Amino acid sequence: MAETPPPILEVRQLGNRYQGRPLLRRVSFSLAAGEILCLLGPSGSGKTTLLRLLAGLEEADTGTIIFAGRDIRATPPHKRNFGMMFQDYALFPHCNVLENVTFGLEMQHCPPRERRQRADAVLAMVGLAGFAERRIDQLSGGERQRVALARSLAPEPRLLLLDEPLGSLDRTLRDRLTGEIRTILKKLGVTAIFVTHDQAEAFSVADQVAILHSGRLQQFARPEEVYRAPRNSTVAAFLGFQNLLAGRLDRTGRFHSSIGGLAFTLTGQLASDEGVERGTTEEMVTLLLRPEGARLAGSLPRPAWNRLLGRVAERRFLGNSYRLTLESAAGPLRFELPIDPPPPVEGARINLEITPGALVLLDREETTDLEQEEEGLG
Amino acid sequence: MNGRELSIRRLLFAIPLAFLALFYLYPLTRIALQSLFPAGSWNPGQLSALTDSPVYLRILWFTIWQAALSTLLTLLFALPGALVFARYRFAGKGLFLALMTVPFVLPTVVTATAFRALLGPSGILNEGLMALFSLEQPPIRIEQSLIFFLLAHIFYNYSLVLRLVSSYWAGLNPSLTAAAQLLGASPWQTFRRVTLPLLLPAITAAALLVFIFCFTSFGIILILGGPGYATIEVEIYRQAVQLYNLPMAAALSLVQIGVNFFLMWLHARLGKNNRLGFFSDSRHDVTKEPHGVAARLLVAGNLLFLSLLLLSPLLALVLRSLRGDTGLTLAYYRALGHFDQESIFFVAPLTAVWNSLGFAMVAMVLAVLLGLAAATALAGERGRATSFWDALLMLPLATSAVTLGFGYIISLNRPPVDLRDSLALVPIAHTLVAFPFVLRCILPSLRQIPATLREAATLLGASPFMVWRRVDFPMSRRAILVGAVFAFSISMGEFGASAFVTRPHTATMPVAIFRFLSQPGEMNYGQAMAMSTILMLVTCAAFWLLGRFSTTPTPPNHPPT
Repeated sequence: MAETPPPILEVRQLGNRYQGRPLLRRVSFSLAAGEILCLLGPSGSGKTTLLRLLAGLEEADTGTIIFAGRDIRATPPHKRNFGMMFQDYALFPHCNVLENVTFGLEMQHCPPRERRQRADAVLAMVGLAGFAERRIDQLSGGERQRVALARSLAPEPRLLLLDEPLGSLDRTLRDRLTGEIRTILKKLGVTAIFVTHDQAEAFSVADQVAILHSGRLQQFARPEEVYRAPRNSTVAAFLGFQNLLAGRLDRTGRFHSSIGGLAFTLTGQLASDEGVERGTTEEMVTLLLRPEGARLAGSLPRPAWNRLLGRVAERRFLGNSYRLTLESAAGPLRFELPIDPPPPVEGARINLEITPGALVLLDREETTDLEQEEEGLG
Repeated sequence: MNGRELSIRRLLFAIPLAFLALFYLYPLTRIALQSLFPAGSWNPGQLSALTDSPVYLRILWFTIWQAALSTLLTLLFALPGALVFARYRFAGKGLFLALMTVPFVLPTVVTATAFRALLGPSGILNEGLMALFSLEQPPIRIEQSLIFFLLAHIFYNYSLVLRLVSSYWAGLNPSLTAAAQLLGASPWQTFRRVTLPLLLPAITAAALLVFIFCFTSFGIILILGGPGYATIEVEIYRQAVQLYNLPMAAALSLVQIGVNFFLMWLHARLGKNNRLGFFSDSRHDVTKEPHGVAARLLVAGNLLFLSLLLLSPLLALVLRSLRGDTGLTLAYYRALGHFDQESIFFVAPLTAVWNSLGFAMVAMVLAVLLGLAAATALAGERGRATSFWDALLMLPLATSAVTLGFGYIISLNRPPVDLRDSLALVPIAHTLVAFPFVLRCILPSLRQIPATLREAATLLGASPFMVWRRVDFPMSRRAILVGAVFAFSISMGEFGASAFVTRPHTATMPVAIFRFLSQPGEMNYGQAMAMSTILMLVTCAAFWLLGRFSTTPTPPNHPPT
């Protein structure tokens, strides 16, 4: 945390309702200049609402948006100098590529000659040199996406907002363009907010990831951090983690699952956890078992810490690993195991050892309390 | 498709085609012959007389500019309304939309009568003002003036423009305007640079339609304009019926046919070029509550105007039909029942009512049968040939009812087809006018049925007829119903062709209303009001019934006048 640049965007307690239903509840975060933030969440989580509030297309009910030191909530969208790339691109169908790209420059009263130069430069940057005179309906999906990017970049926006800009493209094209967009944005040093519901896309584009669920900001962190330590079971489930066990944390800091009586010790993790007073009370928590943290172990005469006993329900070969579904006492759990030596076949009874580093405690009580309080206010 | 099925299709198609040839192309050919070969030999003198005479040039010029002025005024009033319906949410919106279907179904004669009931010399407003201020003369004197029929044209076309433009507007992708705003365009710049250019195709198409309707305006000008004003349509009627100058009427008809074909072709072309893909695929509701004084005033003002424009003539009509010298009375309605000597008028009113109902039933059945045959034949294929035949069948739409009626009286009055005194003449004319509308209702719905459904039925053992009965018919039943109601109400309200082809014993309600209005006297006036009220109620009831059957009774076009 030593040299974080001062934030250019600060969102405080932002809330919005639509016909009485809260779409966004007390969202706060800040973003440094030049960084790319990904808003990640399932549909209906409020990510597009947040983006539209930032753009000024909708008005917030509560909270403030401070950009470059000024509260911009009263500034109409056309005076914010923010760029936005829409999900359906929103290219003007009655204008050609060049007219679309120069629209913003024209609104800034940029002289015609300079307009053309800047449009050509930005078109070349997105790989569409020579497309200036094309009509919009002559472009492919990928080309339209590039024109939309060029159009939003041409006026040099102070903040670029991207609303699922790759949503309608096919997977391969999407993967390629994700990389290209990041390269271009980084080259220009644009501060950007990128909305997506695809975690792979978010992780590969973002400097920071904000995970939204039911209008609440669940976690705001670097992509690695989000993946390594999801803040709660909602985030973990959204990220695709399946091995979530409900249970209680005892006074010695050990976890006991409610179903199946599995027991884990998380010494390493708990020691570094600040503010947890070990041994005073018992807590109900959720334990995440990361899929890569298991290894085959020899059989033990009786149940032990961090051991899983069970039958192999399914063994799937994934190329660089095997995915094993273990029918454990607490239900099915999935792990990824190295291909060498190959794990036992389906039906075999095995014994897995889970490394403490692969265990993540979620839903500690203090976070739960906070959420309940928000609920009451929301 | 096997050979047998193909020949069945051809046979099916031959029926509407033969009908069209006999009752549309043949009369039109007679019009051309009458104007170019008046005495059996080539003599284009009538056409050159048209262009040489300042009288006819003035008529042509008047027809054009009154249509242009009507179009301009309609746009002026309807476009703010379109904004209100496209962008704002307010209580009773559905009710207002339903109210706007009323002019679509109202016969021109009823509209004209209703405006006389409201603003004529013995209309509600004038009588009210005279009583209020003890005036000797009616204060509003717009009878037989331009304003009178311009108002009626606006009444007719206001909702057409509003509905066409506002539905197009509501379908515009809302991100386009948001994108313009984020690129720095102010609200006004956004409207001028993005919204307006995108709306332009819809506005142009709507304007062209309004122009076409006003260009062929007949009943309204005849009843509200008086002898001082004549469009080409009115002049054809005068030349043919009053002056019996058939070659001149034919020459005028030829001009009218030419201009109409050109305008319709223009409209079809515009429609073809307009299919830009800028409709948002996520059609979420983009309307908002009116916030602020300006927005509220805009919404309230437009709704007030709309209600006043659409409701006041109709209310005036009903009131006037019930008001006699001594207060409320049903005297005019009772008078319709007997054919007394007091009216020196040769059509029994009750006969006209029964005629209208009977003809409308026959025309409805005929138009639906022909429409079904044509649609079934055309639905299976797509291609250049199919669209040619489709366009051919739609031609009657591009011909004014007056020219059609005139064509009938000069062609179907002698062998090979002599229907002069036949009861069949009026329903045939009405069928021809209604047929294109019925086809436009049924054909798209048949084409929407996936081919796999028919194939599945065939593979399950259904014969081609059974496929039609069990798949096509049930799936397009609603469209057939819509087409039938259209045909019925078009026939009920048809005036242009009926003015020519009806005889005393075949007179219809619109013709009778026109006759009543042409006669002096309070009784005749009152009976015109009463009969118009009945006609209005019948057509509105038909569409109300339709609304209960189908979810969206959106008319494919304006019924002809």
